[in-house]
Amino acid sequence: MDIPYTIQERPDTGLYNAKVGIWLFLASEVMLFGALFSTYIVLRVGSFNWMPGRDFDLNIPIGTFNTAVLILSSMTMVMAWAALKIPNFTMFNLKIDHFDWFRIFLGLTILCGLIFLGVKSFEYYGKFHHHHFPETHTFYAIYFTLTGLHALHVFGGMVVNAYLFGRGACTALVTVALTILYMAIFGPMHDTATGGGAAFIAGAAWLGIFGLPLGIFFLAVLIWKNNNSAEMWKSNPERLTNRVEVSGLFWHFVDLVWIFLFPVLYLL
Amino acid sequence: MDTITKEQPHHDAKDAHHDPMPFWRKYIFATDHKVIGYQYMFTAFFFLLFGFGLVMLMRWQLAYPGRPLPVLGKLIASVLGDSSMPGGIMVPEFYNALGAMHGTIMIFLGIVPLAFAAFGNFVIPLQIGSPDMVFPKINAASYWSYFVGGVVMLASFWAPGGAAQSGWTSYTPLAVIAPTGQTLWIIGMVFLITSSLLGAINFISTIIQCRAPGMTWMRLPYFVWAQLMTSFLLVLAFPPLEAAGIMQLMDRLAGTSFFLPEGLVVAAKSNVIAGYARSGGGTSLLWQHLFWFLGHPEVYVLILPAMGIVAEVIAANARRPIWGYRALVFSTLTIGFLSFIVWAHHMYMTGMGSRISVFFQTTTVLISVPSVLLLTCLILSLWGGSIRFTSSMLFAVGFLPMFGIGGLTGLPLAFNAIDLFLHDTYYVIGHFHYVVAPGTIFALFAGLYHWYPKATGRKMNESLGKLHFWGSFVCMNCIFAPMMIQGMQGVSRRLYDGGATYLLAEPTLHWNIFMSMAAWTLALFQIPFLINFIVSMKLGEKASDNPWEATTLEWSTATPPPHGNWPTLPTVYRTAYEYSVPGAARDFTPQTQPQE
Amino acid sequence: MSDTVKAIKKHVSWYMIVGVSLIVLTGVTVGVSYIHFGHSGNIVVALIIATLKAALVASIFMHLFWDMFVKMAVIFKVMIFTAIFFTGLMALTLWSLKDEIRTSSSTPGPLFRQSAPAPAEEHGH
Ligand code: HEM
Ligand SMILES: [Cu+2]
Repeated sequence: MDIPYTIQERPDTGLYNAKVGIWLFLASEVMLFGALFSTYIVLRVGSFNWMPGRDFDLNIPIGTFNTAVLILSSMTMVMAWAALKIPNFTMFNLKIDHFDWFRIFLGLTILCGLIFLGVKSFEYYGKFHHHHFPETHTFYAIYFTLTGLHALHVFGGMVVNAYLFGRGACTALVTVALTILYMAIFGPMHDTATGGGAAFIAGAAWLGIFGLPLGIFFLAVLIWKNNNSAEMWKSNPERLTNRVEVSGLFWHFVDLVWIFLFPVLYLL
Repeated sequence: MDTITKEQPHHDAKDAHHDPMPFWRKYIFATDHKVIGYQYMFTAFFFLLFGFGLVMLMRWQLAYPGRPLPVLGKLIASVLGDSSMPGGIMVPEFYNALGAMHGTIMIFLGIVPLAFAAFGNFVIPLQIGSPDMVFPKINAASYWSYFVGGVVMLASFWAPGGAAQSGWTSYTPLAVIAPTGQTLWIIGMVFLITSSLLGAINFISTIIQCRAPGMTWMRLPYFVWAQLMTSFLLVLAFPPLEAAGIMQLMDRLAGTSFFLPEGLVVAAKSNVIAGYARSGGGTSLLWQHLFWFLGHPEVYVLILPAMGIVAEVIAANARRPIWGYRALVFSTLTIGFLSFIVWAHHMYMTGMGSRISVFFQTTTVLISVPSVLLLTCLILSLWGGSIRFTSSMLFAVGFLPMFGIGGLTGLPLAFNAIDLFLHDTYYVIGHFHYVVAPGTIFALFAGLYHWYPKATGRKMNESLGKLHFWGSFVCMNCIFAPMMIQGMQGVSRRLYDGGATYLLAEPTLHWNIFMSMAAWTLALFQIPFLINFIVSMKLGEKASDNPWEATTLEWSTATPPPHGNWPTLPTVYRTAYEYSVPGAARDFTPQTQPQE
Repeated sequence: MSDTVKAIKKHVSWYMIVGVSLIVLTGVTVGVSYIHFGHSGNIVVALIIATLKAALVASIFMHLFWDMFVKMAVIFKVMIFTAIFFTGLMALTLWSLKDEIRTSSSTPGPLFRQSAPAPAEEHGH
C-alpha cells in the first residue's frame, strides 16, 4: 500500500507530507541559528574586548551587493515555482513555454547563489590575506562561524536546486565544489611559505567565480532538453511542483537568515 | 463481534504479489519502518551492553582503587595500549574516558535510539494506521547517520590520548584542551544529532499526516502522543547543541575562544605553561547554557517514550482503560513546553544571581507537577483492574515506583539552596539513574516483551522473563540506593578512587564494593534475557495476531506485519483503550470495531 | 485553496514588488547605519528593518500571508513555539549571565570578567 498524501494535500491539515517535513526542518534551523545569534549577543554585550564589525574592514558595499543578490535569487526562486503553477505563464510577451520559464528562473536562482558564494570567497580571501583568521579576534570568530555555516546552507540549497534543474547540473556543481574543496585542503600543504596557502585558496576561489558558472552553464545547456526533471514534469508534474516549492521554502529561509546576518555583522 | 475477525487480514494473502527481496535489500538498505526499527533495536542494544561494559570496568576501579583487574585488564591493555590499563591498573585518564563514553553511549547511542527510534519506528505507523513512515528514505538515512556516529564514537577509543574524557556534558574549558578524542566526540555527536533530527521530523510528519481515517487526536494511543512530544523536544532542542558543538570544534581546531575565558592558563602535561585564550573574550558558561538547553529536554526524551510504553502495557494487562487519558496527554504537552525553560537548574553552582535562580527553581518545581500527574494516572490505572502479571507487566509495574523515587529525589535538587550542597555529588547520580536505569530501561524491557510477539509471531518465555525481572529489580536498587547515601554524605561524582582520599567519604566508602558487586550481578541477570530473546525467535510459544487481546491498531494486522502493514487502510471507530466496557461481549473492543 | 492558478497569478506581481522593496530596504539599512541614533538607537533601527524584511520574505515568498487564513494551522503552531523557545534561549541565557551574585554596594561589572590579566603577546603577524 502506498503512503498517503505524498502529492495531494491532506484535507484536515491542508498540507502535503513534504511541506510538513520542510517546515519542521526550518523550525530546527531557527533554533540552530538562534543559538549562534545568542552567542553573538552574549559575546557582544559580555566580551570586554568586543569590537563591532563596523570597526573592522568589512566591505559594506560588497556586503550590500551580496544581500541584493540573495534577495534577487529568492525572488527568482518563487517565480520559478509560480511559472510551474501557471499553465500560460509568460513575461514580456515572449512565446516561451512555462516549463522553460521555470528553468530560466531556477537557473537564475542558481546563478545568484554562485555569485553569492563567489563574492563570499573573495571576501574570505581578503580577510585571510590580511591575516584575519577566526583566532584573530572574537568578532572574527563569530563572523567566520556564522557566515561559514550560512554559506554551507547556501551551497546545500544550490545542490537541491541544481538537482531540480537537471541531474547533470547537480553533478557538475558537486564535482566542481569537491575540486575546490580538495584544492583548498591539499593546496596549502604543498606550499608552506607564509601566505602561500591563502594564495592557493584565493586562486581556487577565483577559479570558482569564473570556472564554476561557466562549467555549469555548458552542462546546463547540454541537458536543457533531456533530463530527469523534464521527465518528471511529463509523468508527474504536481510532484515536481511540490519539490520546487519545498526547495524554495528552504532557499527563502537561507535568504531570511542572511537578512539578519548582514546588518548584524556588517553594519552594527 | 464477527466484524473483527473478518477485518483481520489473512496471513498468506500478503506475500502473494510481493517479490521476495534479497537479504541486503530487505535488511541492510531497508526503507520499511519495521526493519529500520529492528536495525535501530539491535544496534542500540549492542551499545547499551557496551556502555554497561564500560561502567562495569569503572566499578572495579571504584570498589578496589588501584588494584589490577585480573585477566580482563591485561586484555584491554593489549587492545587499547598502555594509556588504558597498563598491567591491569586503570590510569586516571582512562577512567575519565570510560565515564564520559559511558554517559554518551548510554544516552545518545543506547536509550534514545532504542526508546525513541526503535520503538517509535516499529510501533507508531502500526498504531496510527499508516502503511509506513512518511519519508522512508529519510528514515533509512537517519539510521545510517546514527550508525556512522556510533562508529566514530567507538573509533575514538583508539585516538591518540584515548576517547573523550570530559564527561557526557563535555564542559569547557577542559573539553577544549582535551586530546583528540574530544574532536571525534563532537563529530560523532553531529552525526547523532542529524540522525535524531531526521527521525524526529519523520515521526512528527507521519503522526500529523498519516493517521488512518477516524484516528482523531483524542483517539491516539498515549504512546503516540509521548513520541510526538519527544520528537518536538528533539527537533527544537538538539540544534542549539549542534551549534555549540560547531563552536567547540572551532575552539579546538580554529583557535577561537567562544568557550574559553580570557587569560586562561593551563599547565599542560609537560609542565609548560600555555596561554589558551586566542580570539579572546569567551565564557565557559555559554557552553553550559547551550548544552543544558538540550540537556534538560533530553532527559524528557529519555523518559517520555518510556511513559508511553508503560501506558500501553498497563492498559493491556490491567484490562481497564487508562485512567485520565486527557490528563496524560495535556501533562505531556505541558512537560514538553516547560522543559525548555528549566535548564539552568543544572547550573545553580555557577554563580548565577538569586533572581534568575528563583526563576529556574520555580519552573523546575512547576514541571514536576505534570510529571507527578503522569505517574498518578498510571498508578490509578491499576485500580480495580484484573491484572495479568506477565513479564512485560512486571517491568511496567516495576517502572512506577522506580520512576517515583527518581522523580521525588529530583525535587530537592530543584531548590537551589539544597542543590548547592548536593550538586555534583553521587546523590545526583542516584537521582537520574533511578529515572533512567530502573525507570526507562525497565520500560524498554516491558516494551520488548510486549511487542515481541508482534514482530516475531512468538512469545518470549515467561519464567525466564520473571527471573530477569526480579534479578534486575533487586540489583538495580542495590546499585543506586547507596549512591543517595554517599551523595548526602558529600561524596563527589567523577572521582577516580570513588572518594578513598577524602575523609568525609570514609563512613560511606564500604558501599562502593557493595554497589560494584550488585552491578556485576545485574549483568548476570541479563543473560536469561539474552537467551530468551534469541531462543524464543525459533522455539517460543506461537502467538496469535493479538496475543494480549489489546485494543490498539497494531494488534489488528497480521503477524509479522507485511510490507505496507495493511491490505487496505483500517478505519478507526473508537478511543484507544476500550477495555472491560460494560455490556460488551468481550473485555476488549478493538479500535477498528464499528460503533453499534 | 490559496494556490489556485488564479490566486497565484495575482501573487506574481506581489513577488516582484516585494523583491524590489527588499532590495530598497537593504539600501535603507545601509544608509541609516551612517546616521547616529545614540547609544543603541542604530541597533534598534537596523533590527526593525531586518525584522520587516524577514516578515516580508516569510509572508510573501514563503506564502505564510496567504496560507494564514486557509491552512497550515499546524505549521503556525510549530513556528510560534519555536519563536517562543528561541526567545527563551536568548533572554534567559543573557539574564543568567547578567544576574551575578553581588552585594548591594558593588557596581555592576562587565558580563563576564577576566579571570587573569590578558597575555601580553597579541596573536598576529
Ligand atoms: C520529576 C522531576 C525532576 C526534577 C525536579 C529534576 C531535577 C533535577 C535537577 C535540579 C538536577 C540537577 C542536579 C545537579 O546537577 O545539581 C537534575 C539532574 C539530572 N536529572 Fe533530573 N529531575 C527530574 C526528573 C528527571 C527525569 C525524568 C530524568 C530523566 C529521564 C532526569 C535526569 C536527570 C539527569 C540525567 C541529571 C544529571 C545530569 C548531569 O549532571 O550529568 N531527571 N535533575
Ligand atoms: Cu534537568
